[in-house]
Amino acid sequence: MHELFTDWYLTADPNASRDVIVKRWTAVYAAARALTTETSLSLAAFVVRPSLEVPVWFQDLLKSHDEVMRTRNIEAELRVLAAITIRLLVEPQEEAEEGEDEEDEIDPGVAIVASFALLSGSFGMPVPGWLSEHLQALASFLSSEGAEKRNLSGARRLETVTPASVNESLVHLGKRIDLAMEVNTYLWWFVTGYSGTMAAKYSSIVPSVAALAMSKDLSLLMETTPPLPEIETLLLHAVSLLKDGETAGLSLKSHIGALGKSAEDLLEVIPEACRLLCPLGWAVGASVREKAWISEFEKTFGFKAAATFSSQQIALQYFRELSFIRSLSSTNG
Amino acid sequence: MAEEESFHKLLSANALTASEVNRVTARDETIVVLLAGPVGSGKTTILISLYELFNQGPVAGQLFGGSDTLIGFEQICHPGRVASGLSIPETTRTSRTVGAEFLHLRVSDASGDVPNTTSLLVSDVTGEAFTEARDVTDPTIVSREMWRRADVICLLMNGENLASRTNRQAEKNEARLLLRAACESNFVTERCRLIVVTTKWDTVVTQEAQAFCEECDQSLRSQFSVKFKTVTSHQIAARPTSARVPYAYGVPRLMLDWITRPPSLPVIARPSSKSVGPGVLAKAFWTSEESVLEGRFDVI
Repeated sequence: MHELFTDWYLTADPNASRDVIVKRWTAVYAAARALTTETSLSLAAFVVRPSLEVPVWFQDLLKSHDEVMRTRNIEAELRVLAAITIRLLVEPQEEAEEGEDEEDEIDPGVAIVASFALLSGSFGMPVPGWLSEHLQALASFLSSEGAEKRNLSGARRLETVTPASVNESLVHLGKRIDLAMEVNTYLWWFVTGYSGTMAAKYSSIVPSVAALAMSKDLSLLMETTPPLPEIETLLLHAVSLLKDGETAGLSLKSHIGALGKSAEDLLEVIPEACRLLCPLGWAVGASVREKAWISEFEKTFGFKAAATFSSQQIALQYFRELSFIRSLSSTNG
Repeated sequence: MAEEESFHKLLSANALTASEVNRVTARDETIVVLLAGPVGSGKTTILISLYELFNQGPVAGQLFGGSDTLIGFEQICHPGRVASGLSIPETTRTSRTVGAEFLHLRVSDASGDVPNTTSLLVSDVTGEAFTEARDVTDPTIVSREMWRRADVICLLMNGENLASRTNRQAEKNEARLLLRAACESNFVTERCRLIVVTTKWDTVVTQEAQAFCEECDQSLRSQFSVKFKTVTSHQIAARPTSARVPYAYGVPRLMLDWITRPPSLPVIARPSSKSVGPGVLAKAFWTSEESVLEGRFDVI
């Protein structure tokens, strides 16, 4: 059992017996291993969108591990367990549980998609303490995964010269070149200060629009997800150099309202499964359709469009949503 | 053969015991508040005034969304009402012989634009609960689990005592001892918030008395701010005896503080020591911008 599981579950049931704790643990452990890309998205949406009902498969699985578990009036408990299930994707237990099939390992692609989904979907909403510690773990996972996928530290010395070892070195060399090219691309993007999406220099664009354009441009340069963690830092630095880039912030309504016709250039088609997890993408899309979007937005995403955000916060969120969509595409092939 | 009778168990609507609170915590996003303070500091009176305010309408922009403990509220409110037959409103002393009991309030945003409902579970506990938590591994007044579940410790200081030169030091010391006991118990988690409340503010009249209250408040904040997620302060007069302040002065603001969560910030990870690529530049940026970023992001 994860050493923190009892503490996590305490939020929902402070007086849970040992028997109940073990049953809940067994259930979420099984749920984490059974997650697919599709089910992880529905689970993430359930955690962050209070209006949604629990995915049937999740409740059935919990019930199968505890036949006397209540079915109604336990929404908060189900949300806590759903978030724990996603957390377990990024902190798999080292020791196999009794009866575990060795093939039931966590799919790293699912872990990446689910992490993006929960981080992206929680933007703007009042986040309870029990959820914020999971979000921190997911952000940390994506950062380390982004670095790990490109981790080529250490010199590669051939101990023995064999076709296999030479091929391995060549593959390693190829990856180093890819990494250098990727970093080069990002740095050139930063130096030129030019938006390919908007066909204009960022300095000539309204700062709040430029922040979103930067996110879009960077996401188009990204070939592997999760992105290199330093790229988020580069994005924040670029936004901070915009005129008014470090101001306290505008309302979300103002950020989207400033887009005008640019919204169409910045629009990203959001897959249906992600719509409830991409608040900015949703708002940009609604702006393109020139729809009165505020009321529906607030009911859907649980925070007011009058809430203020800095350009850096908006840029990071949009970049994450776009990274999320890219990771979903690459997982689905 | 006699027909089998079927019975439906109805909720009693009395105050919830610690073993019953999961009925609420499993259903709703719940804030657990421990109201702590010496006898007579006004713990129960806060709950009474809050309930009475909701009887009149929304409080601090929050609508009353129901309660699983309506009878519990009515029981504590009765001695303060005309129907009790008492000439002066009174508050029933909380029994020390039973474990902590919780009163439940469900509130939601009055504007209705954003679906945002929160349940409050509030228990008033005496200092004995704190010393027991410090001295005993398995406390009974407030169980270990409920200590760990507590989102807010609301520490009350009797303003009337703070205003009195004879009683003020003892009042201040008792508050400090309670908090020290809570911290030494190791049950309080790092996500718990501390709210320091000076009650009976209508009796704190002179500038000198107000200055002492302020100094007392500052002293507690500086001593205990590292032990809690946040520390905030309020001055209230839940049932004022003078016309200086209105009924339930400061109580709506206090309730809002209970249910308000710190603004959620996007989470971002610092570049690790093993950064590749533009890692050196990234670290330089973080060093120069950290104070700004930490105000806008949850930096890990």
